Amino acid sequence: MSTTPPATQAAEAAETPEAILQAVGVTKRIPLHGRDRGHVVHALNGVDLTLRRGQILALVGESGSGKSTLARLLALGDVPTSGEVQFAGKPVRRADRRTHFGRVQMVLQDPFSSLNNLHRVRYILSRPLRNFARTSSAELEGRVLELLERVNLTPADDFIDKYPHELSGGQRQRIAIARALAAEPAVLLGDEPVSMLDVSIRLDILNLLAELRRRDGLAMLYITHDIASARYFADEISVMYAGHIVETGPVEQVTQEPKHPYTKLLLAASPDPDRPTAGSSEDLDEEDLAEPPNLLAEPVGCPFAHRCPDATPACSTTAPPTHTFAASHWARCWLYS
Amino acid sequence: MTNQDPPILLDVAGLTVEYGSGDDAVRAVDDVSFQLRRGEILGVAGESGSGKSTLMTALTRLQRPPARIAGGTVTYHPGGAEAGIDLLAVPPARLRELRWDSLAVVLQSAMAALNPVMRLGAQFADVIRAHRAVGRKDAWSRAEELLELVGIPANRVRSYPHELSGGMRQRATIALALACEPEIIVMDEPTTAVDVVMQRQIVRRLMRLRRQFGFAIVFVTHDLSLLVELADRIMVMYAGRIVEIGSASAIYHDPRHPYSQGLRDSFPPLHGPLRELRGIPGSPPDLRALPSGCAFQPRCPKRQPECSASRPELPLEVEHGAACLLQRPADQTRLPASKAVQ
Repeated sequence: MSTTPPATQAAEAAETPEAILQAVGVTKRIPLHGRDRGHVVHALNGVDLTLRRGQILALVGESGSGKSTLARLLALGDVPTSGEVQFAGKPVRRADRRTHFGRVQMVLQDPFSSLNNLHRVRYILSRPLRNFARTSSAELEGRVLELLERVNLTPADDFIDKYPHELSGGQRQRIAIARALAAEPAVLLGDEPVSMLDVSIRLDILNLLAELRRRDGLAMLYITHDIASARYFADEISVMYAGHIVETGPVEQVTQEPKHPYTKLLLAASPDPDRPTAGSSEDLDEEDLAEPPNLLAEPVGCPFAHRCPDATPACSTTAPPTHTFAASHWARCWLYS
Repeated sequence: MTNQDPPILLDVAGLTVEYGSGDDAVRAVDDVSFQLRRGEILGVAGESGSGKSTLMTALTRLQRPPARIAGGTVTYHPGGAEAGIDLLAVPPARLRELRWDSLAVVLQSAMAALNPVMRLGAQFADVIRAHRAVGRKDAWSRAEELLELVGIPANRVRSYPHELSGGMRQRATIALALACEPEIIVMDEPTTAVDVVMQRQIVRRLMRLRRQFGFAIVFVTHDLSLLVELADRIMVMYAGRIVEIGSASAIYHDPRHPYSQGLRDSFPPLHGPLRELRGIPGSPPDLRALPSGCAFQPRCPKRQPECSASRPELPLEVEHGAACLLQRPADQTRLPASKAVQ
């Protein structure tokens, strides 16, 4: 199968690290059952996304925009309706699952439900070592201790025989990260890896992930709805809305000079104590938005049209073109053509 | 601008809440004192286990066993009058009258706060008719008005909670809290379950309604950056105690307790220069085994030898104060005799 990724060509112009994991024109439709039988949820619509070696890509968007669905497809937890997932330029199929799982690992949101409470840390970390890294029994304990040290759970001897319930939220998330690292993956997919943790320990975990990226050259996807933490942590940001990626670019460009009206809205909605207009009456009198998009309807035109302050009649009938601003910063919007 | 403070609505003194009793008792809220003035938004910030939710339930007497109020008073001054009612001592019948009418709550999980098998209108009518002598029809049309106040179309009054989006449900619980125009609304993480765009809309609407009706809000959240934008004053809780209290801008620009400083520096900035942030090392303490002296000292970057020996107290009667040994009395900002809160 020979597909040329439409949007990624522009991104490859500059000297960027090689692409490892890509979504190419990925569409996902989820059929409904019961009373809604016959309807489908348009979860993802022609999504292109590229993760590069040693780079962190943040994926931001509101709940229901398809962020987690995309992560699941990238991890091969599900198959796309159309389009494909590529690893190092080659499409991956259901049959390649086993090798793929060893190369792409996930860190989930809730460390209280992602670890099996009935097993000790030793067991939780040795499963992926046996399954993916082919570690022999003799080496196992040494490798588990090494993993614990990599995620700064020291002294490692104190942690290896603990059960998850004996650990705090931050420590559990470190175990979940260690478990993902055990398979020696090239890509880490973090689905809101810090949003369940207390604010004072979130940065610790983000700094740990940044350190792992720097040291091991891992590619990472950081799914979040906190755009300020994306700015702090990631190299690039992709903004997702109703199953479409509406803007992608380097973090500073996207957060300081957003192009798509939805990105502007997200930034304006994020809490920012330094905002000059915070709490002023002009801020208070701003109009409310329409309700979130209906994912059951066939997507026509721009998904954001019905909430967009700059919408024109063309927006709700024809899909917007991709406009590239600087190398690797692009947005899908009619405003720029 | 008046030259006078708005009157005090709620005066909390030495409130202590424990889980369990005897030697096993865990003190979730320990000797907490603060005042809420008319029309004020008081933010309560803290991490999990800091006692902020326990405090909210105790204020409204919604705590359930094994939680129990072990001491202190919560005095409500209706309309800011001199005479007060001790909410912790009033008989249940009187408490029922006060709830919704004077004091309303909005909880984090809107789905759990609404009855899933009753139409919205019926739930509103329940509240309204329990406190006002109105007929069923009038109560339903009042429900329509209330929903429109929070931006929900009036025809949704016949909807069941599951037919609304998450943001709409949360706004519906806010509308319900407004039903009898209370003076005080207690909100426990009302925007945590919705995304940032909806959070902004809810907050904006809340501020607009406050301007219109003049109620006071106690707003609990772990999101300090949201509180700085929203609240007039903020109190920061750690391990069941207030470690710092002050105006929102003082807490943001000049935090005095090392914990408040750490909490503020845990939020990366949206604009301006980026630098590496560290958060706060360690994790929140186990309330069953609190460290000696100041509960924060094991994690504190400015720890002194004395910190584990004695527990610093929050100075009373100050406008901006922190419970920290590093704070000499001279550092605490005295409350001027006549200082308007807003």
